[in-house]
Amino acid sequence: MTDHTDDLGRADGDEPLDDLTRVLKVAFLDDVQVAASARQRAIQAALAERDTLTHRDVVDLSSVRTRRWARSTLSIAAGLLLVVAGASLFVNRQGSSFDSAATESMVAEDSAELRVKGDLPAADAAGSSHESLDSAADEEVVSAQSEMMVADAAAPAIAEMSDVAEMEEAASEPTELLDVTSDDDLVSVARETQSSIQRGDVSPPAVDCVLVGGLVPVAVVGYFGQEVAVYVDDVASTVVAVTTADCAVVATVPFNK
Amino acid sequence: MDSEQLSEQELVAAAQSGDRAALSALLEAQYNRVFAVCVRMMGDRHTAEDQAQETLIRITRSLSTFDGRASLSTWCHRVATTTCLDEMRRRRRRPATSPLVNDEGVSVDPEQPHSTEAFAGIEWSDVRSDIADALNAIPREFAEAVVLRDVLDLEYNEIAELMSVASGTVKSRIARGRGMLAERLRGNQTPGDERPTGGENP
Repeated sequence: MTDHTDDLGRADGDEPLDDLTRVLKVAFLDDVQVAASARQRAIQAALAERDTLTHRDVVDLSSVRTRRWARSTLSIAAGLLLVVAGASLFVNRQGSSFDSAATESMVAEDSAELRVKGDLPAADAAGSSHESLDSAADEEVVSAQSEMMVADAAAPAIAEMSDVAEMEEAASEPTELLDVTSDDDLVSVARETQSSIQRGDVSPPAVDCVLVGGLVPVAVVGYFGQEVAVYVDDVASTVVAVTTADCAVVATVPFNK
Repeated sequence: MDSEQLSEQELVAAAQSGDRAALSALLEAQYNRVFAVCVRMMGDRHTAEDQAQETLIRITRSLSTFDGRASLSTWCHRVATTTCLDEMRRRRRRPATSPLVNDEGVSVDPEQPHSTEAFAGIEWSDVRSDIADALNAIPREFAEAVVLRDVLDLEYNEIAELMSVASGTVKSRIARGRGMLAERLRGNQTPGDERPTGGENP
């Protein structure tokens, strides 16, 4: 390195000479002839890319919404089925008890009446009456049992749907989040994880958010109290953090390659 | 803040929010500089046009991450140089189409750069004559290092990679090249000092 000093710049030759830099930039970059057709072609290609990205984002957002809708619908349906099955059981069991009580009361009344009126035939009549009432009560019990069987048959399906919903919820909620409390740490975590993904040591996390450019998330971390998905934009040399809740960008941190 | 700066910010904001016309205007405004960077780095216009197009596509993809800390033109300039560097690296890679041994039976690493297709150099035959004369009057590697750093804004390590020398050598060449160029452009060079040699590590 020289200690050259001149009136165009600074003593340290490692620093740019502002005037020289400006003169060179103008000479090299401002007088280049550009083909209008090539410029138009390039702009059209970029706009087509933008249209593709926009379409992809809409599709991705739509699929995210569909998944969320399906998940909540599944939960609601499972809940409704449980409520209906429970209510049905409750009504039938209650109805059965009521019928039994009514039957006993009627049998008692009939028996008393027959005892006043006569002997064996009355007892037979009471017996047959009792049997028919018992049979009616049995039918009610059978009916209640069949409702229970229906409910029992439905239970695994309901449980399965419930499990699916719970599993999806569990999958979307990491059990343990690494807390990142500074931009430097965010960059460090992002780049280290990116390297691990590129080496094949780990897989990218499943995140619903899609960034323009089709960037792949490298990590999901806690960042100042929010759960964020972290992306590395190698082109712009930035690390981008978006909330997993609504895909809002909360940090864009530049880094040196 | 002047109105031009404000209008650029507004243009960026509109483009970031999905305004297609704003994005088109933004790309239109940046194309000439992007192409100039590409043509200086790639050497021929056809390749430069391809790389300028790729640069515009990358700008479109990454615009959402542009946060305005640098000026838009600086950012686009950087995207252009990165795009061209990527293309140069891609070209230098030997395609892995054959067995991993050469004719002498020596194993060949397909990921090693192909040294014979290394950086072709910066051309300045079409720049202003006094600048071209000054650049031609100093050692080629010094002039090239200055142009890569001061015109194309490459990092030292990127220049070192392109020129296949150490970073320290790059810094040395830039410093000495700037000094010699400044003297040439002031027109006060002394006879016999045109071709300094030595004093650097390969």
